[in-house]
Amino acid sequence: MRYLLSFIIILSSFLYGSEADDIIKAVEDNLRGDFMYAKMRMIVTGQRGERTIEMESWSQGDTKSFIKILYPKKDRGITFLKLDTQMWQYVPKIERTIKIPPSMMLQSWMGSDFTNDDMVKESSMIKDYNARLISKTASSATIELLPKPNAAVVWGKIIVDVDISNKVPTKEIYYDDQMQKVRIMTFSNIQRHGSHNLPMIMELKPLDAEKKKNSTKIIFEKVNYDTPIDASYFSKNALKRYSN
Amino acid sequence: MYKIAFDLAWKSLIRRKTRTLMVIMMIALSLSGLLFLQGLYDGMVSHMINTSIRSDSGEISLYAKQYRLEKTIDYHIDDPRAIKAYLHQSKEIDAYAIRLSGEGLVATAHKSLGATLKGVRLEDERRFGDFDTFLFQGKFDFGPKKQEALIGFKLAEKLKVTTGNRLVFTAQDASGEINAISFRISGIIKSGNLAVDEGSVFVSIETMEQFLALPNSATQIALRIKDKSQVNSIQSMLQKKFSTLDVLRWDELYPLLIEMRDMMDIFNWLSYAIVFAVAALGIFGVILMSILERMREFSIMMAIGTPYKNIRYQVISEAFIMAIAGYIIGAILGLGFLVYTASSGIDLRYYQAGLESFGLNAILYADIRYHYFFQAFASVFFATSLSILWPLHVLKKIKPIEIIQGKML
Amino acid sequence: MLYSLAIKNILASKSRTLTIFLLSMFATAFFIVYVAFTNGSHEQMIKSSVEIYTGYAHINAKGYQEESDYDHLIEDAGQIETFLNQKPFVSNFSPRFETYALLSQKEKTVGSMITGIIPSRESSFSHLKSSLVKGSYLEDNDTRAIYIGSDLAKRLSIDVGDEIAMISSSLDYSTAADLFKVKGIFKTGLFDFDSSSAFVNKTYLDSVMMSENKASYFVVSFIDNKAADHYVETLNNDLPQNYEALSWKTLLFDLVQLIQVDSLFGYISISVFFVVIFFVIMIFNYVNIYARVRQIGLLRALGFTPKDIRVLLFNELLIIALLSVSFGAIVGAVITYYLEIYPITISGLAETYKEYGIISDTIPTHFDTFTIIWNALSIFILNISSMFYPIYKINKLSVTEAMRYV
Repeated sequence: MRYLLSFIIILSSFLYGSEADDIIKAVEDNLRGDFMYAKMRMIVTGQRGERTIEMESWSQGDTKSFIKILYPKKDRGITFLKLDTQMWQYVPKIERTIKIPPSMMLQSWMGSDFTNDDMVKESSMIKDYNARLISKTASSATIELLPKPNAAVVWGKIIVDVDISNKVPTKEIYYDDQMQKVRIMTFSNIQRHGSHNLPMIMELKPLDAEKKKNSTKIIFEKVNYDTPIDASYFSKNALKRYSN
Repeated sequence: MYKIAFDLAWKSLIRRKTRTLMVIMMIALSLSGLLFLQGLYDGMVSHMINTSIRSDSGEISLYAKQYRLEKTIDYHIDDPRAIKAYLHQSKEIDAYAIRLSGEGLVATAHKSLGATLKGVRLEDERRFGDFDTFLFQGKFDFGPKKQEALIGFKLAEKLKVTTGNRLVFTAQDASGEINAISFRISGIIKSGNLAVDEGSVFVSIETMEQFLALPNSATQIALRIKDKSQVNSIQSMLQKKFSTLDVLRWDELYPLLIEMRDMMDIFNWLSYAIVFAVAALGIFGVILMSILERMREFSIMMAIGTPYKNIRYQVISEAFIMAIAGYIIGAILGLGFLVYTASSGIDLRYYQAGLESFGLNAILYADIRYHYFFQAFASVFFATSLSILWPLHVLKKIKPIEIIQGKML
Repeated sequence: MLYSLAIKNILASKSRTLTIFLLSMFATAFFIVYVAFTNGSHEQMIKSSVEIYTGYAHINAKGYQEESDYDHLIEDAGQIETFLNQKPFVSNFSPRFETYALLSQKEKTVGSMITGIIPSRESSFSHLKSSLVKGSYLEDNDTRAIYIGSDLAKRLSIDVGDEIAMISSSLDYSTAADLFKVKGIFKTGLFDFDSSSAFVNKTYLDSVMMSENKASYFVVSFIDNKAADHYVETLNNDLPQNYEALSWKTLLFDLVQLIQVDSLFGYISISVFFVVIFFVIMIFNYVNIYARVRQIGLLRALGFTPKDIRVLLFNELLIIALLSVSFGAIVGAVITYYLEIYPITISGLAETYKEYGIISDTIPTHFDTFTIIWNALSIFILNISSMFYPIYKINKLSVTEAMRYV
């Protein structure tokens, strides 16, 4: 009897484990397209007030992406190219392309609460984390993601709320190594684009005492999944070529 | 005959015991002070040299040419196996450590800082420089899967991390790709070598080779030489043998330390010179006085046929009995200070920040070396000899008859 | 009566008097010069750290020391400007705007500190201008001119006249980018500073960074920088709530401690010299007095009380001590003063010790009247304390003992 019981417990935890993995995998598959074009607005709120950045992005898988800033006027034409783990920036005002050095990877990207590294990293939750189902209802699930021992991630854990039917996350809470909350990401306004469901609003809130007032909100205005994007976007020449 | 002179010297010292004691105390106290200072300063410098050798350079280090200048992994030693095999069989070399280092960024969920990631073998480092004794907190271990790291204590302070915390290290690999790797902190290192304490993270060299995509490579091979007097000749021998590499001695890698040691030596000699020049004056005063006081006595002795050299012997004996007594008391006192300071140390934790910013321990330990006592003896001997020259000259010019008649003095 | 007798006695035993005199004079002069050297080198350390760039005091928004970001700037530099102008004890001040930027030249991109300064005001208290090694220093109406550290220039392989790109984030977090021409290269000797700092005229940088009327902090110097602590306290009492003033002792805490440790060792070392000098003076005083035991016995027989004898001997020794210490102080002061103007120079010194922030080949000496006075006073006290025992000892002898003393 004891044997049977322990067998069931092991089996069920195994099942739970795989179910959690399945859910996360479904979410990632849903969000990732072979190609994606998007026009978005990023609203950065900080101690000195609010500002809006508008941009377009073209991406292929999650190794290549190209971003162009449209607004504010001052920044218009600034382009970013990301190939694998490297990132370049072109600034039309000075007509220069520079490669973002490793020492800058953890600096803020465009003054937002995202770092350059956030923009570059092909962090796959399935690859880097072990998923465990914490709770589940018919429509939603809460999953705990613990980094795999050798995953190069700074987080201690991530708690993800998933909308199961739409295969999108609704909330992600990031913890540091001491299991203190560091930042919260929320996702809302889910819309269907071709075969993908996408939350059109993403908001990031850092929880460090110093950054209490900060937040970064990304609003997708136009999304196009699965229309092939010309390879010319993913070369260093594109930085200048597509700048205006 | 000399025995009588010696007895007389002894008696005269006892008769004027106040001034005898003053001279002995003067020699003893200043000598013990000097010994203490010398040991303390030597202790400081040798501590710094020692930690630099043990935590980094060894007596000799091998680098790829250009590496010292550019500090990038583009300049690494390819395939150190042949060198390793050679070092292994070499009788002159006590231990060696092969390291593969890369510069990059170390980050937590809150903060990131520039740092050096050093791939090492702990077993080699232990043999190389008792590196495990630098462990300040935690374990001296990279864990079963080599995913743990040791971190310098100042860096840990700046990142606000401790053992058990996770770090992510980002760096460019050999092909220019930016990669990241994570470690859990197993231990915190406090070595006294600023480069180590402020900016180094130690991980297993195998992990590092993979991370940098540099299998079988090294940026530094540090050697411990058995016979320290052979360092120079071994260096030139190694340089000939490995002509494509830079072969550098520790004092070439840390020129400042050797400068400091030289400065301290000069300072010590200068202190001895000045203190004993003054002390000689003190002895001189007492001896001259005692001669002048006893002119009549000496004159009578000479008049009854005592040879001049006996009287001279008596004066010399007086001076040296005081000097030797002073030396013995001073040496014992100094040794006491030194033994105490060498074992218990002087606690300067109040000034911790300042001392550590200079690579010194907050508790200072003295060195004790034989040569201190020889040097001290030589100084006392020299000062005493010097101090009696003039009094003896005065003594020699004695005209016994005139003095007895009261014409002199 | 006792005085004239004392002086007669002093003159009578010339050689012994001369020995004590020379010894205590030598001790005084030596001590003064030694302390002047120690203080000089400390002053140099402070100078090289404080005066090159840091400055004697900063005024910044609270929290800036911990988190030097755009959320902790001085938002109204004009207000601080007016505030400082009203302080009579503030001799000079200037705002700085510091930010992190990428400097890029062809293939090389290096992260560096970019600081907006008011060139003319800056040169009145930091060594930036005098550290120029090539090209020229900034001017107040410069625009795209950058003044760059020698090691940073090396890292970027650029020279005077070359153009470099700067990319940073402006105050509204939009991208601030501009091209600058290298106007001058400086070398202070502080390696970290020279390898990661560059300067631009603040008025121009403000237009790029949108940081008009903002500052990271104000550097302040005072009419008397030795009293910086006191002035900083005064400033802190008057400053608006969300600002703080910090003295260099807080800004450079490690350095302050290091100097204290060094002084401590200096005094331990000098105490050994004191011990030996104390004993030698005491021995000579003793010998000097005992040489005149007969005379003292005679005086006692003539009706002098032990107290009279004490006063007589004390006067004698006091006169010698006073003269020798004053003379020693003068000699020490002259040497110190001379060395301060014409310091000893060891060529190559700065090169060897540049990592420790030693920036000149000269061995600095510091002339300070107050220090000289207390140095001289210590030797004088040492002198006095070495008199007691011999005088006490001689008065214990009875008249007959003294008369018969051989």
